[in-house]
Amino acid sequence: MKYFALALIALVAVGCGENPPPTTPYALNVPQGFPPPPIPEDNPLTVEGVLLGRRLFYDPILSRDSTQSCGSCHNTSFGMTDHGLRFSTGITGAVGDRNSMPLHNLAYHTAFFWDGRSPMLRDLTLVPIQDPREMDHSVEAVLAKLNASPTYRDLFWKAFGVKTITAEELGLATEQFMLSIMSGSSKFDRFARGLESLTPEEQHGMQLFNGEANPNSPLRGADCFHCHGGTLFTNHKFMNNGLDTVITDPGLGGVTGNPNDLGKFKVPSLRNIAYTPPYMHDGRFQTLMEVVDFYNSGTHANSPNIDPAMGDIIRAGGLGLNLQERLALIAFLNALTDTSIESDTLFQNPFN
Amino acid sequence: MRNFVLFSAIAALTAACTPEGSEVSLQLSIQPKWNGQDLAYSSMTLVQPETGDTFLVERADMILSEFALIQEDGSRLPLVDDAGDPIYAFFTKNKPWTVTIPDNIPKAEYIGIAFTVGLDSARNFGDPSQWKVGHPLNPTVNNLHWGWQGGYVFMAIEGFYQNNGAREPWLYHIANMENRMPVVLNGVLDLRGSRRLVLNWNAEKLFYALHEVRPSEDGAFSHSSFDGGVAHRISENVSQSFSWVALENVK
Repeated sequence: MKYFALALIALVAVGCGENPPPTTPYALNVPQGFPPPPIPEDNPLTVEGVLLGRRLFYDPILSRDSTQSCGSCHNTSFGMTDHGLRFSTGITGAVGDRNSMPLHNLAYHTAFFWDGRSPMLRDLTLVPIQDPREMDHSVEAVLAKLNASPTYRDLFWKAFGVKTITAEELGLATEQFMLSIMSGSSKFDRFARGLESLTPEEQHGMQLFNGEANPNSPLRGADCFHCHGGTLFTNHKFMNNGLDTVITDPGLGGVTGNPNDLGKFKVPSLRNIAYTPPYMHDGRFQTLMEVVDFYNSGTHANSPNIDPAMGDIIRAGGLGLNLQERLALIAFLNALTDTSIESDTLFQNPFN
Repeated sequence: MRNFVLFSAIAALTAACTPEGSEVSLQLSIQPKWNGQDLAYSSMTLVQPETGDTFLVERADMILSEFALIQEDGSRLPLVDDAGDPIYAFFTKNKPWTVTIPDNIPKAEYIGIAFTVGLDSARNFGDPSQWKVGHPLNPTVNNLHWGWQGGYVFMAIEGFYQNNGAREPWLYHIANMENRMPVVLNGVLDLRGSRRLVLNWNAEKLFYALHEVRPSEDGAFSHSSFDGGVAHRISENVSQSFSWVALENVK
């Protein structure tokens, strides 16, 4: 009986200790054919962390008046972008000046935002919280709200073993959720795995996509793959594709201060492109046909810092695709749509 | 009992013949240069000494493989990593161009080093998703994989050049098996201790070594097909573009 009492005391003592419960590793669903994703060593994915991150992502508590969440401008029905809008509107009615970027396969990215200002995905959440044109809040105020919430205190304890929530854990949690959004189940992916056929038009479009715009070649090509190639349909670089003769948005140059970077923007992945109009960093093109028309005949050779990869196209006066070819190219781009990003419950708003 | 003693003696002798420390490491350090100076990216100041053409280099990315030491009999000793796997390297701007071979190289005097800019067919057309995070052949590391069609670009060099006073882009993506770029550098490679071998990559030689290449005359763009052979000529120049600088002791 004495031993029982001692054991009970010991048990209570342990229960009052500071050891958080063990976390459960999150099994990331890496699409077949994708390279292993480089998950940050200091932020391994856990079920607790991913679910907490999802809750935070969709919780308007992050905005000053608790009306907007990350999910307000990154909607799964629009490929994690903002409802087809050119620019997003913040809680004060202020309007941004760059198009909302899609949030999938971010594990493979090494710089975030159109201008690459954040090298870490965990910082992605903290920027819009503080932007007066977006959530117009302060990190300190958000943390005060979170720390006042018994629910969030419990969730952060279980996910990260902290009693007091800091900006670090806030960033880590949302980073885990965004890392978990993998997209690689499009019709093209099923075709590449031998599970489905492309239509003749989509096949034609794929040939154009992967073909060079080379006047010496007997094959027609749209030269898309040089910048939007690979499994992820992006080269992850910052480039100027010749949109303007006068640079009005410095892009990467505004971050680095290097005049050679002015007018360069992140090359977006073309996965789920059909979900994410309008297009370009400033959303100037409403449709994919407008985008193809730009490369077909609208590029500006004298755009400062235009990428050398655009040289062949520009020297030829554009791609010169006929209407049938342009439609085929768009048919292929539509085949890059992964509807699971819209339907997967793991990515959905848990408050609904 | 006699056999046991005999075996023990043989084992002891064998151990004596391969004493601890009989293998050394080698660090390969490659310095990107233009005409003897450190390669300055994004600067239209690079003059090719033979042709007089003025260049700006924006991108110089390459994949290296098939590292081997040349032994005195002319045979090659493949260099491998800790796991005994072949060594690969990816070089790009703003990152160190170094390759470290762990201490698994037999101490000896070698007469040269060889490597290839590019890959063998199995690696070139193999599944690119097999490479772990951070591996030089991981497509997200090198951004040189062509994607669904398969195969890597072995070297991607891009920039601008002065053409009658105008700034014109140039771009050469060297790919395809016929454009693999073998490099052989002969020199006294005394590896009786761990060493660092310093090489130069002389980028100006891309435009003048075995062949003269002038973007204004030979074509400023190539993705290694239907290009009048300019990519192949550049690939042969690349094989001549590395030079031996020094073999240094490593503490």
